[in-house]
Amino acid sequence: MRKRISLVIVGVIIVLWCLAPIYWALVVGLSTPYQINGSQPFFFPHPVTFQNFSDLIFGNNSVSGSFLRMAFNSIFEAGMTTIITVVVATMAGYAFGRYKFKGSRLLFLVIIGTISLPVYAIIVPLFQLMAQLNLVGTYSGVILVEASATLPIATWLMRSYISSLPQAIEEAALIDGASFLTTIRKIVLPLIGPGIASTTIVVFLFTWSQFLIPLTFAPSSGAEPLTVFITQFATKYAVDYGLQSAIGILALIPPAILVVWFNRRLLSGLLTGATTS
Amino acid sequence: MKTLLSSSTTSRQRTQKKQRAHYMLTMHLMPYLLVLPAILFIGVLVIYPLLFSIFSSVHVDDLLYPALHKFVGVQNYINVLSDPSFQIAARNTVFYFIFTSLGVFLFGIVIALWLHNLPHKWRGVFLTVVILPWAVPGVVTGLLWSFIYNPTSGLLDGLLKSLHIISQNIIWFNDPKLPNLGLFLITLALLWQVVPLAAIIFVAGLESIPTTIYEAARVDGCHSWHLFSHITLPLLRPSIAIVMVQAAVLSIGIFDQVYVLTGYDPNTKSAVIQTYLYAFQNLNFGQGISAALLVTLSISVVGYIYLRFIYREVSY
Repeated sequence: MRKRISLVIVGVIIVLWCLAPIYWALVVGLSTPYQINGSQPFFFPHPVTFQNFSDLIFGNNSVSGSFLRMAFNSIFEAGMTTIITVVVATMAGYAFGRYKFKGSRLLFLVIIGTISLPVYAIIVPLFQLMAQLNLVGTYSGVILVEASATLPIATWLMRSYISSLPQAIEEAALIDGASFLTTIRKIVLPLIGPGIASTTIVVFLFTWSQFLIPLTFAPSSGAEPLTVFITQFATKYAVDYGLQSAIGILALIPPAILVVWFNRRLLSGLLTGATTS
Repeated sequence: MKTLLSSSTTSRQRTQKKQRAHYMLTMHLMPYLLVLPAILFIGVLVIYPLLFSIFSSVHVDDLLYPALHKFVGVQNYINVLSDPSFQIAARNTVFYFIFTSLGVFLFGIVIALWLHNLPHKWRGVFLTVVILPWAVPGVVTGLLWSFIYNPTSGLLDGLLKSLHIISQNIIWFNDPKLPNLGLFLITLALLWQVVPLAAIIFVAGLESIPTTIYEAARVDGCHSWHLFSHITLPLLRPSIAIVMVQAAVLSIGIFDQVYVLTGYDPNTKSAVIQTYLYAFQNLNFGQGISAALLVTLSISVVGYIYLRFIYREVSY
């Protein structure tokens, strides 16, 4: 009994700690400016207003225009980065998980070694390179850099998953004369589906959160995602807390949905990913 | 002889031979084709910039004086290390590192033990609740906590006021009497985001410890604290090492939360913020590169020490 009571008490504190910051932003986002700027402490919106959210999404003004644009940028950049990363990582992961070839160990170590290399370590020369290629301020610039930043961990995840599967079925198919592509399409892809799913979720979440990369490679160019927009917005409309928190809430909805929906896949991906270091 | 042999080869054998050749080709060429895109990506966008970084860090390279470009040895590193603004940023980063490491370890263990002791049917729901803050982008985390610390309508002031602990709103950042408070408040925001990952890693570690060990120890008369300190903690060593490395990487490299909450404020700016200032505000790329490499180097050293001294293979 004592154990149960302490579990409940600790649990209430933990759940409050985890959810209070999100709850509070929701409260601010749903409140009127009158309440937010008043001197009375408040803990829930009264009255509830959806004005901030509708201003952002349907409002016929420059704020709404740039918000919708940046929301599209976020989705587009995270989506494209995820597709490119997962395809490239699946190919490489398959090679490293299935073949022993000359140099495979070295190449694998080179790719995996860069997992622990933070982006800021190379961001300056990367910026110079991208500037020479005229890719600063473009979607391609942001997507290429984000893909290269997530590729090592994605390759590790895919290789771990692929090498945990038995090889016999593919070998049998290849020896029986099935072409390589047929083997991949009919046998390998269905088998590694779950691995691809968890890698996709992890990569998407990483990319959606990126800030330093788009801040460097797409500053005020129209290609910046929500994370950069949030910081620009906070300096421009410094006191409009209602709008700011509405943007924050909208920016955390996609990752929150992924976490709630796919928590099992995500957890297995995270645990495989965390053990690399 | 050759023609005789080939003419005696039946068509069946020929197809078999073809298949075999095809198989061999697939086995030998295919892996290189498969890794080629990944190698190109990493080679061009990671390895080349890294080598270039190391090269530049020992040369003078300044956008404002493009003609100036000569070998200077460790001069750039010395310049960075003796720059007062980098020293302040480095000092702040040490604070972030210490606060975060302690917090991640303590809160991570507590949350993991709580999850581990929950009845099974509740665990899935609360795992999701616990992991949620981890998925929130760093910038949004900073934003969420800025509403908590807000001096006019923040949750923290509101709570303290309605509990009659304070009568006037406190301005949490830039309080001249408490110069290090900002570092602590930003660390809380970082912890909110990082602790979930630690808890998940600890839960997996706890789950891998066989319950029979606890039963045996309990039969031998062990109390709960001894069970924890003599069985749980030592057997968690691999998880602890991984968590501490993650904490070091994320706290020494802290950027997003600081940028949103206090920007370039010297009282709270981190080493990576300083790096960004060097390169993209002062446009001194050489200095930026050297600073970035110094931060990276310190992370590697800390990570190596952790893996060396905490990590132990555990077998049952």
